[in-house]
Amino acid sequence: MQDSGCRKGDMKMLEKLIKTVSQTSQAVYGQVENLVNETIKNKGGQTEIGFPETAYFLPLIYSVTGLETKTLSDLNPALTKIKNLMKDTDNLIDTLNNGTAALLLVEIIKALEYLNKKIPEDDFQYFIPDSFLRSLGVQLVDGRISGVAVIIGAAPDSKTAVKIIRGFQEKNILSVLVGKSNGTSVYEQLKKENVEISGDTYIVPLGNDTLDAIFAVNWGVRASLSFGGLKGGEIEKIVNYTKERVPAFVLVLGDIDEVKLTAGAGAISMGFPVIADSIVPEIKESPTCPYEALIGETDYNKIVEKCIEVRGIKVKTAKVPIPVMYGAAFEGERVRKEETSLELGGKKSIGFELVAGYELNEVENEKVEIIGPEIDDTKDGDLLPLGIIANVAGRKMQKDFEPILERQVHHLINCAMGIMHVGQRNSLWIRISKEAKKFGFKIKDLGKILINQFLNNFPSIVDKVEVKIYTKEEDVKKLLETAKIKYKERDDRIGEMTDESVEEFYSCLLCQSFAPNHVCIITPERLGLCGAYNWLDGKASHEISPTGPNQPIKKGECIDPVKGKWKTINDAVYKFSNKAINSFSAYSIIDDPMTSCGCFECIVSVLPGTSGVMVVDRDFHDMTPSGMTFSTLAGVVGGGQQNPGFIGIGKNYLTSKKFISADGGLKRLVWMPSKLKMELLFALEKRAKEEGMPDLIDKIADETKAVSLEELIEYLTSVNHPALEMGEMV
Amino acid sequence: MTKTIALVGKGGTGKSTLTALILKYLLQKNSSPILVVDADANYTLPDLLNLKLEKTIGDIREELKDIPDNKKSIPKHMYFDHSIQEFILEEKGFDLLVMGQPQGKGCYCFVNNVLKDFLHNLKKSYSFILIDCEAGLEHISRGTEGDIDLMLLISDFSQKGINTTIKISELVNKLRIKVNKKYLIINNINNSLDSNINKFINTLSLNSIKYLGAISQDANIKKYELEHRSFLELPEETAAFVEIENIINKIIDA
Repeated sequence: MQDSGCRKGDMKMLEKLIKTVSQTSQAVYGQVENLVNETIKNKGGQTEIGFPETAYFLPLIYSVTGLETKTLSDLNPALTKIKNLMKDTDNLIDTLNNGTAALLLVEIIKALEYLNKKIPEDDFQYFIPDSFLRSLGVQLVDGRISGVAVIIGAAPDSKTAVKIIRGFQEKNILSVLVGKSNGTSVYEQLKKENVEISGDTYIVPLGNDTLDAIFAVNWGVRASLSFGGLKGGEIEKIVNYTKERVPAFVLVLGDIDEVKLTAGAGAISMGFPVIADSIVPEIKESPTCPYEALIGETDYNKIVEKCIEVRGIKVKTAKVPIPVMYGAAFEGERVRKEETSLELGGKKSIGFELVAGYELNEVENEKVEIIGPEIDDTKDGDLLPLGIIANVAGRKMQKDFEPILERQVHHLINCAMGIMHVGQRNSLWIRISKEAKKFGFKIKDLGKILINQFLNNFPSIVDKVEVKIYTKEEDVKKLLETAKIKYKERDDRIGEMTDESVEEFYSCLLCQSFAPNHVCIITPERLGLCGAYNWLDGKASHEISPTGPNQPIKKGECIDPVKGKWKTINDAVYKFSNKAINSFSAYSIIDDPMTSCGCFECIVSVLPGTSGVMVVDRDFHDMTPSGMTFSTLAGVVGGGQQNPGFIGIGKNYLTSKKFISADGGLKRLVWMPSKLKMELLFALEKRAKEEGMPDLIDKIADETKAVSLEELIEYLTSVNHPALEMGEMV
Repeated sequence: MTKTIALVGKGGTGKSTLTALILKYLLQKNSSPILVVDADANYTLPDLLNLKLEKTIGDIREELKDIPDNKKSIPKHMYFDHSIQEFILEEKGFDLLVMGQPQGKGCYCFVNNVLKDFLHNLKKSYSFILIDCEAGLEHISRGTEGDIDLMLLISDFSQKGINTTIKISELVNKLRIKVNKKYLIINNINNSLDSNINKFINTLSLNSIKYLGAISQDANIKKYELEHRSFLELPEETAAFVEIENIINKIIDA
């Protein structure tokens, strides 16, 4: 009994746990072995198996064993490895291995269910595709999601279920719902209470079966493969990765049967601690978990806090001093007319918002002033004009930060429950719901939100904030004219910015928590590959946290102006990539291209035979002319390695003058998904004109024109695409 | 969780009429809020519901070409999104969004694309999304509707009509649209109890489509249409409405 560190009183329970896990995994092994044999007999060993849209086979089996399971007969070597993992034991470490074995068996069961089309088409997510994993990765890095709760079972009643879920929502923790207890589930309990269930509200129903928890586990471990650059079979490194970098945990609600107990041991073995709402044999330490590994908390008022503590999740708990709930989970709700108490701005009135920088002595900190009627002066259905002016001061405040802070307003106000914010600048429209009014929400609270969030989220540039809210028409009209002058100044400044016009670029190491060797170099004309960070964002982020992930790098001596190579930039890339990469081209896909973490919005790939490149974005799941889907390509590109011929990029880089300009630029682009094309159409057409080829965009094929390379070449020839004349790229 | 219902079928089969009747049904069942999308280029729902339409998405798209100068660094999709939010028709229990007539180059795609993203985001604020699809297949083939829980294939009582309907269904199977269930409704017949219909249906190979029932021609409906009265005000006992009530009851628990 080593390493368990458990209390003496728990010994008996722990012994029971060890025994149960061992027996259950043995029993499941027998069942799965029979199931596999039978399926092979019925369908043949060559029958393909797998999960939808993943490049990692059966991900957990691949992670633990390194085996690339593609067909039914590939399951046999996997079973052998699983058998070797299992031991009849009284030792905790071996018990965790038994748990791992059980999870691997469950993954086989679920793969066979997919094969036999037994996974129902309903509201549950089941297997989580790679694309979902990637978008989640970005949200974990930028803090929109602070952790992941895998909730198994059901709360004692639906009100308690709502309380727990709301608790997680307020902390920006994603709730993943699995399984049942006492004939019901958290999913059903939330439905009963009319809680909105969707990814946007931080709730993902995974499956009704306890065993569906495997889809959470094989999602968690995949992060280490796609972001951490780890390979299948490197299980120690993988578990270390999930322990250190994937802030997920398991919360078991309700009765615990042997299946849940065994799955729990498996979760612990993969680096995810388990919290239960009942008395359990506590495991205070495990090499795979940061703090406690298995712990009980019977007080539902404390259970959310306990989870956060055990997983060591860092949540920014700057509570916003307003009378309604506040959190990203409430963002994007539409307050319908019938539910609206007060409307401000919008098409029937006027509205604007402006963030302006001032000197420190000009701003009175945390002061909110309303000039004109407040919500109490109105009745349901009323309409008011609205002008919001946030005056911001800070020693490091600059003109360039005004639009960055202003862009936050939409998101910040929308996070208040029952408040809808649409538009920006001088097309502002806000609705306050009857419910929010009932809770005591005032127009003034809009200002309180901004003050609280600016001060907390941007402490190094914002020292003081005051907000003035105008609700009288003559004031709003007059101030709007001043605001318009400001907006125009900003537009002029942004449009003029080029890589040549600045002295510094910014590094972005935001993703190194996931991909330790990757560094993005962000220039005015090439935004970060996640699409979320442009040069101005990098600059602002550096001001906010000077030792943080975005560092300015002086360009220094230029080695190659065409490819975009600078000596100091190369030195910085070498340093930031932990000496993995020593040279970098900003404008080439062929010569020392930029590496990728795994969060990229799009992948650009050279297409031999066309003299061009194709681009595919992460929302496009079908086959591309490269013979690979986005998922497969992503496996090639991610993990912080340089792969000539492939780059991960942010969408908007496609519309930059510097888009692979060293290799021929936009004229090289021969294929892209139609949806992406339409999204960028205006900007692409503008670029095509600048290139002197106004009809270029029509010549770029999409999936409706060509899927295979042959079809593509035929199409390109028929439209006389310029790339054909440009010569092969490699 | 939001349920999406889409009505498809060739022109003149009465999709819009049935959309209005289903809306009436859902409102009576207290299933609000409902988002109704008139995705037919020749939109008629505002008329059938006697609503005054200010702008269609097509109109907004035209305006998009000339975004005022002082807004040029606002992303176009955000501007578009904002405009759509503003021009949703808001009624008691439901909101209405009209696609309108798209014009010019590439605009079908752009409009459909924005609508798709927009619907996705908007979805969570409603209990039901009810989509009256356009007559042709263009729309479906582009996947604008996204995931659909119930697809109602509307046909008249003719071999040709049913064939088109089956074709639409086959097309849907080939595309990456997730449609949970497909049902066939025969509209505009003389007598919904006509036993010939069942005989006729039995001769068809409908594959994954389930035959749901038939809806009668109804003098009341014609009358309301001519008098520009909202279908939502149709008397409860209107035969077509009673039939809709019966068959929709079978497939949703509103």
